[in-house]
Amino acid sequence: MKLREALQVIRNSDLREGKPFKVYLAAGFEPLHLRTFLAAHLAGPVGDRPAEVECGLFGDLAGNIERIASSGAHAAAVVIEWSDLDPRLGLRRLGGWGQDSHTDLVASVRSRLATITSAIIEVGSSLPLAVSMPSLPFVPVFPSRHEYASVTELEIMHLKAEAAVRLARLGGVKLLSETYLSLLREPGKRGDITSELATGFPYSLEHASIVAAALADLIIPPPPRKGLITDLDDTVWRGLIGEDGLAAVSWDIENRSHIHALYQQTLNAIAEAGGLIAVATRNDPELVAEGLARHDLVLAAKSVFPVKAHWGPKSQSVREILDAWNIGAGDVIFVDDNPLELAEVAAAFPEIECRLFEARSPESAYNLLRHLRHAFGKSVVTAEDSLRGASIRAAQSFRSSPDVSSPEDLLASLEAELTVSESFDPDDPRPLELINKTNQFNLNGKRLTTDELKSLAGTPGKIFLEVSYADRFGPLGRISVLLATLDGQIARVSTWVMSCRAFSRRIEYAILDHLFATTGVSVVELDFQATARNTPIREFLSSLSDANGEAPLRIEKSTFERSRPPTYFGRGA
Amino acid sequence: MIGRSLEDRLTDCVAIVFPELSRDEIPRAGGASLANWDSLAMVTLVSLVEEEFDVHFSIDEYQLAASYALLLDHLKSTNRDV
Repeated sequence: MKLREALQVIRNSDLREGKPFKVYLAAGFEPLHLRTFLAAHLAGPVGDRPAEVECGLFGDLAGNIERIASSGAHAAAVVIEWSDLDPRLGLRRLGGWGQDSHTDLVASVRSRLATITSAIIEVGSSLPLAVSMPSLPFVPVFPSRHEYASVTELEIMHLKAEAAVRLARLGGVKLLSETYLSLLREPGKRGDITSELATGFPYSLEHASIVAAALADLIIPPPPRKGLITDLDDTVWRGLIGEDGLAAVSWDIENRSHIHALYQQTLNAIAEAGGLIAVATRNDPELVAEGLARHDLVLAAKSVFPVKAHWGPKSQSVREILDAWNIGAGDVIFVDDNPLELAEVAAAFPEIECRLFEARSPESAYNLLRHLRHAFGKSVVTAEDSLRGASIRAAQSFRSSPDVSSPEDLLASLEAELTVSESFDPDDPRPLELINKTNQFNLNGKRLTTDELKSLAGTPGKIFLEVSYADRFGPLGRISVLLATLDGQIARVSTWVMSCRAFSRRIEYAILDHLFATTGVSVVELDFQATARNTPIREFLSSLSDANGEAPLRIEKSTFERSRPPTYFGRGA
Repeated sequence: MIGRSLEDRLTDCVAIVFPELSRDEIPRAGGASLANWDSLAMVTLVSLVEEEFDVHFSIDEYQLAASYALLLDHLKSTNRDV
């Protein structure tokens, strides 16, 4: 992002109404354009409200970190540079670069890092916090030639790494990856000496924008993609299985096709972290089944569902896969080696990200693997993530079950168990993940920060319900969260979400029943607001309420008990 | 940018930092006439001009951001017109 664009984004963001999303930027240097870029990169993710970045005092990094707690910020970013650890490692203050000055340099860095780290630990438990460790190259403080890694230099780097590991182990603190920064900007091009000496701001504009964008992503992580649809020939394996034969397709070093094995390994990793993997191939289905059953295939066949193999257009396969997954096209990446197929799918589904697998260019294919890990990346993998692929298969089995004669008989035969927990764990990421990523069964589309969830769920007088589901087709894990406040005979529901994988089982009726039964209220009032995607919950609520779709929707207990269909749930643990 | 004068491009830069000024007011604007044309605004202006014209200001040249006129003279002297 250019500085000009950043300033324009901020100007437009300042016109928004609503309570600003406030971030405290703690740095020891003059934050200048880093502050500008951070506000600009936050403007998109914070939605309809303004983004505000507050900074502390020049030259007082530890003090600025301490000020975070009383700042009222929703999140914070801490940017450390070498000059914060010892003046000899910076340019604006003199501390001496001679031999004598090195005797205590390591000890000085150790002491300052301990102070800064302790300050971060103190505040890191109370709000989301992103940290950037020193990213500039060393000033010429070491006496040796530059290619020589002196013991002093190595000890300082070791201290930096130790501090970073200590911080990264904290739940609420996220560290900016040096590997990531190195791929975007080599160390020698990150600083601006003129700017540092003239203004106290040490970064080049490009580096400031990169750091700010990364910090914004750490503070408000972009949602990971949910599904990957892949071609097979010259993508999952080298060769055309229909032309070359089952035994001739390859993915190994000897056949110079190992990049395909790396791709399969990447797909496995994505699936293990909860990503959905499907195949769309123009091939004979029986041959494809044999290929996917090959004993030496790296890709775990159990991770792939569904497999669409036919001679029709790829867009037809994509449509069927999206239906089976019940997710939006914008949450999916399609990978194919054929630009024509990519264009065909892109024309039918403009929201899908289409990526070319260039098998003849390992460098390009490898960059694709890096991009896929980034697009599907998540900092925490929950138990529900490992269940996701299996639950999609289970949902398909549920919908196409031939075992029973009617939908009602099917529901009755499920051996379904519902577990409702009222215990809120502030360190558990699953409730916030459900609230901030669910669209279709979402009461009002409102997204919450960690702090907002804690205040809505973790205080006396508040109701927190977290619902888990399992049936004979398998477990779905935790699939719904409801937040409410008791007000006499009324339960006022501010948040209610349910995973789309749990549809068609009447779980929503069971949740309302639980709410009425455990609170004893006679009315449930819901802060419903229509969004572009929450038709499923709108239709459900309309069947129980006489309101005209305007908040608050009221459901009388008598109306609910009269209107509700039968449910067939056993109670889990 | 082909087709746009140096004056127009410099005016755009100043307008981003001082959106309250009309384009007619900008050529006469500077620290002497505007209270908020302060050191922070000058630094931001220097960075915008560096970005727009692909130039680099020396530490002594930062003071040229004290007014539109000084900046324009500097850019003309470094032959940044297109």
